Amino acid sequence: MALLEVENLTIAYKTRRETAIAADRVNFSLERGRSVGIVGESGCGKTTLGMALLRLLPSNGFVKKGRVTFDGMDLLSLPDTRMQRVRWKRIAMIFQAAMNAWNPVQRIGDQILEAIRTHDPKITKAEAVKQVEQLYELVEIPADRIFDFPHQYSGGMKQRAIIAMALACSPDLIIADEPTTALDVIVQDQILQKIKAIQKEKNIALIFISHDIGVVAGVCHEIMVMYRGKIVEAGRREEVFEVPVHPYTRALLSSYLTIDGVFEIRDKQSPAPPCTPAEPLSKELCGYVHLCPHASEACRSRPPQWREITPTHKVLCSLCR
Amino acid sequence: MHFRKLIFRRIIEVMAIFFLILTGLFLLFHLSPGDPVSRMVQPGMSAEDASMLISQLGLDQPLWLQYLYYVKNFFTGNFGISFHYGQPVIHIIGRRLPNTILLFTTSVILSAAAGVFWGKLVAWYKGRPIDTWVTILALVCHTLFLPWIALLFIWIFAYHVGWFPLNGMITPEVWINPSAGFLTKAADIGHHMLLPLLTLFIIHVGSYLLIMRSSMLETLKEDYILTARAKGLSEKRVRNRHAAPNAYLPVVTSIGLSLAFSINGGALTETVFSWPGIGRELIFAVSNNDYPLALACFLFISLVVLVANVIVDVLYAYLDPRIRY
Repeated sequence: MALLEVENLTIAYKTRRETAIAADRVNFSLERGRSVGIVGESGCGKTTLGMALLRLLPSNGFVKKGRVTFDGMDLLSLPDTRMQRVRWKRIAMIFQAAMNAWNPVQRIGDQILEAIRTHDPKITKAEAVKQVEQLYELVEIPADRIFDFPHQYSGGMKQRAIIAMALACSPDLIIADEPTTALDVIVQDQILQKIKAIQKEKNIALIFISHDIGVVAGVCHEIMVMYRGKIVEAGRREEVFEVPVHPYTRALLSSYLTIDGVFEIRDKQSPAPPCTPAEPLSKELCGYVHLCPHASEACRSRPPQWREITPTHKVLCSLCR
Repeated sequence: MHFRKLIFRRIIEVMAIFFLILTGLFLLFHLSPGDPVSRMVQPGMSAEDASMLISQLGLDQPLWLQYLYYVKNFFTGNFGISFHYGQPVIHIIGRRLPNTILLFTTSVILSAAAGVFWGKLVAWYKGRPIDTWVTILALVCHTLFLPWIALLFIWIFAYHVGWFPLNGMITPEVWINPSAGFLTKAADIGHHMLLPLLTLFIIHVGSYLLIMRSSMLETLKEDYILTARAKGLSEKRVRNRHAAPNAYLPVVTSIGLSLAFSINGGALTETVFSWPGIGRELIFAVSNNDYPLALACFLFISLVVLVANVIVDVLYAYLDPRIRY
């Protein structure tokens, strides 16, 4: 059995007017030591998905149906106190906004120590500090900066310190939600290399959430493309990156800036930049039908079906054979 | 190190502000209508005697020279003789100021502590009945008219029920008794202080509660609260160790801002309860044209507010490392 199994996970937000589906029947599984990237534009539900795994949805968000099994535990029905023991000890998170992920009035070192000592109450302070020193060595921050306050760190340092904290309890799974988005490209590259190396070395499973398909392709074994709450294409990195099938994936890839500074148009027929149309999402029909240059009558009348391109490469589209 | 420099700078600033107040008050007192001498001059006094008195008081000197004397007198602690009491003003201030500080420090500490505690709690249970009712109650407290609630309390608790003395700060019989120890005297003051304290508490607790509540609600949206939860901390720890310390900051600011107002309200409270404090003395001095006393009251009230603001700044810097480092 895989380390993490997500079955039919549907997450919704209650608003004044309606109940909005943010993630719709998401299925995937993840083995120990493997990494999966979830790619999609803002608002497609990828962060919601990550939060739901840790049961950290905002108060108006809830899991409508589905199961999340982690190491044999049904995470969604776990009592709160047991869930608190799973958090960080088993599943850690690297946050989107490292700038604001640190409590501004507490020293960084104390915040990392808090994580260690919450999950290991017996450890002495000296031992815990030693652990933090080792983590700092790993993420290449000088040890004399451990007990600085967050505002004394640069953005990149804060992000690396977050990675150090994520590793503090040796988790089995790390969810990295846009870990490099706020950073400049050089620091971004350093951080990505770090994450990749640590993930490999410690044999940690990784869920990497990003809007940048190039970044994801550099880090992950598998890629899932998410659009309007649905996974529309999933497969091994090479398959999705080299042979994208879903028109949305192709559009996403074609808007990806290559090293030459030109748009590499992979699909001449869908140059339109992906964006979420204003029309309400029909629950069953393909969400991309309004923008898809290939949309046929069938797309507008029938829900799309999952097709297997290869045993590991699947796509949710009526057009693909 | 930076911390000390910051406090040092604030003290310099406060001293400059105080000097401006000193000068401003001097000008105001010279501009204000009414002649200080006319009070001292007896109807039977000759014009010669009157002008002698004026030159004795130095009021025939040019304004700038008077100002220099005024500043010199301030720094030597010479505030003149009160017209009404016939005693040095500094002695009267020395007797009244501690009473005011006792009452107001206690009321600020108690109402801020209670406001912060309840504000934190109701923000945590936002939308539940406890939040709704406590917030409504806080709004009611916040909008109450101070003299009205003070009189109401006296009427109910002192006059009808008789739990508390009607007014004043001490019971003379208790203090005359030579065998009365410190504790007996302190208990007597405490007994007199309870009603004014309760009044000030009710007036101020609402605003502290509302500020803490909204500040806490803002803080709870921050990313580091999510981090704290993701770390597997208990909800109580998230609330008390991560959210609350950040939410305190606006409350501390508002304590600093509200101090000046609470001393104003204090004059009312002191008058209604006949609390022998500096606010009541000020009202008395102003209505009796007791210029030296009124001037000294103004100066010391502003001094207290400025010192309290320095204390608030120190507290703020202590709570927020971004200021300190």
